[in-house]
Amino acid sequence: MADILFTERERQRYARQLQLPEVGDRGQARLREARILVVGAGGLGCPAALYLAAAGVGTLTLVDGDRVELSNLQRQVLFGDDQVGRGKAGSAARRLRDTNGDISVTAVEEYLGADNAGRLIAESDLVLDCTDNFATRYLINDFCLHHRKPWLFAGVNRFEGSMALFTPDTACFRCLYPDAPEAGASCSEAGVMGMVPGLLGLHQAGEALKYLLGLTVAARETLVLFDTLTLCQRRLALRPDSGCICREPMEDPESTRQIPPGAQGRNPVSEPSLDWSTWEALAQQGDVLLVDVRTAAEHGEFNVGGLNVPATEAESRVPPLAAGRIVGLYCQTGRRSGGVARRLNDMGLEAYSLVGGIDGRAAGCRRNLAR
Amino acid sequence: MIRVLFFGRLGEYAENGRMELTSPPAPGTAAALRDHLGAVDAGLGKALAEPQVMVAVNQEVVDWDSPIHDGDEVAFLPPVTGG
Ligand SMILES: [Zn+2]
Repeated sequence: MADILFTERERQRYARQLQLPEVGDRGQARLREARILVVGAGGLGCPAALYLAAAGVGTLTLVDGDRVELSNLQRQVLFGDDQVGRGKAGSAARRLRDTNGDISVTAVEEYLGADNAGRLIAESDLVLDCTDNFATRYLINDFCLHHRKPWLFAGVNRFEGSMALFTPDTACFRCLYPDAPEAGASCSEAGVMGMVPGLLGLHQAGEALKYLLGLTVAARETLVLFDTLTLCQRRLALRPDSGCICREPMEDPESTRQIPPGAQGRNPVSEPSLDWSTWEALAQQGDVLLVDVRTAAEHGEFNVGGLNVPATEAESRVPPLAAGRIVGLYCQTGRRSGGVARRLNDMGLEAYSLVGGIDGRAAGCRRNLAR
Repeated sequence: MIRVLFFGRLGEYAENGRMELTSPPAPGTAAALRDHLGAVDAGLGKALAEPQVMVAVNQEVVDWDSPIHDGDEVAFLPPVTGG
């Protein structure tokens, strides 16, 4: 039962919504108890987080590894000229604390990845997808399925946007988009009017608040489309795809990190390339840099942990990241990671490639995220 | 009669983003309608063949092999992925 004692300051701050019967003391207490994870502090995340903070959602976590660029200011309205070059999550969090000092706002200046998604999502009651790419949406989808958390998808393009609420009991994002695109149109490619993510972000905040208040969520299992040229809005019902992973029991997306019995105690670095069990042992050592050298899309689709540095960028980006540590590299088949390992070893690093890659692992581990 | 709606950039291929067909192209599936439209307008056909284009029949997102009947409203939707 939520604590429904409010300070005089809170009563004044939330007076206009406390008088709504749909909110009231009980609803406001629910908002104060709630923890929302906002993934992406960009065009969607800025307005969404601002209105969630103003409404009194008690715990907001913003996760974004980006820095503010001048070209962001047209739509990412929590930032101004002074924030250009600064971290988005931290800058946004400061702005939200300024809006509402009675709530807790945490900034995570990292990209959401397989390494942090489990923890961040498990600690939240609801996740807002304010990202701009499919890979992260699949990641959110899969971790939310596993942890049985609801999440609000939103996407924008040019003059239109769409959104949907997915819960463990409804269709999921993979029911809607079973296959990752080669390259989806992002704002940087197709362009977008600034108020379009503004509108969608506000609707995300609105649906999130309705969800927390126990009101009917109009976007639940429904793709809501907004066209700002015609001001037409349409709702399309979603149905679960019987062949989708959301219809079968999920395995732990992180369970692949466990060491198989008998693998401990091996010398993990006796060869330039490693088999799976040795890789697992290596992964358990603290002082190792694990890198997925596939594309960001492949990494988002499914990965076995570590950072994502595409093979083409590995020679420039891995050495400073490694900072003297041993490097473990993997890809889908071991071909790309083998090449990168050789080049890094030539550069004086101690790098190892996972033989056979992800495909070479025991088939039982693969089922959980790959379709 | 079939009412066909085009969302987003797909709307460029039809006046006001919509058109009407007298009957569902054989064999009466969403895929058959997509292929029929593509045969009439190559540009539209290319746009509809993009991955992640979705189809909805009577306000419900469906598979491409779903049947289309006289009187149905069919909507084609491009992916909306930016943030
Ligand atoms: Zn699904």
